[in-house]
Amino acid sequence: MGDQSQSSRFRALFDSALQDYQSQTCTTLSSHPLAKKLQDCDSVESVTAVLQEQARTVSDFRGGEGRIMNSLKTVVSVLYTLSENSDLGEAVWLVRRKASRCSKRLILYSQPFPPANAIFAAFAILLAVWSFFIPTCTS
Amino acid sequence: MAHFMNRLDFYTRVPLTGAMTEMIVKIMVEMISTLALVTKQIKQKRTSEYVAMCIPLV
Repeated sequence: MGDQSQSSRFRALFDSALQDYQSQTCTTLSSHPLAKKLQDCDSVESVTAVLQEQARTVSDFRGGEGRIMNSLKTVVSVLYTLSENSDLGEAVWLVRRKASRCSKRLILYSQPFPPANAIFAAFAILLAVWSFFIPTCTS
Repeated sequence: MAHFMNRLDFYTRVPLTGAMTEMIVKIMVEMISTLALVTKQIKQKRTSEYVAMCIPLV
């Protein structure tokens, strides 16, 4: 019972963080294409490869691929290890996602969306936003 | 963010207690909030730079 209420509390915290992310950035983290891409990743290397793809433009601009990627690799490695830890409980990792509108109806459903994936996606989106605007900085 | 990661890195090497699990969840929630703030600020800064570039002062 205690575990269940703790899991609900954790889920509420994550739901609130995802809503806050959406209101601040106007981006729905769980349904973003990069989040979907990251959800198919099943190793530290595959997650790092997705982030590296996004970091390339930024690294080219700043001339420090090693520094950015080393920091990201540490983040991915630590979060991936934690998300694999069964002690944390599977229930903690379930976060409700909203489906897109279909035939004028909004269908709500629950699907696993690990917080680690949310953080990886948030990093990937940050890098994408950063690299998208780089050409305006150089001119 | 580096301090958060150092703390999380430590937690990957020891058996987790309830209090540690709670701390991990709070750190991850803070990371999402921090990334939201940075992403928002980059978008705003870059957008205002872009607008300033496209609409020169008369």
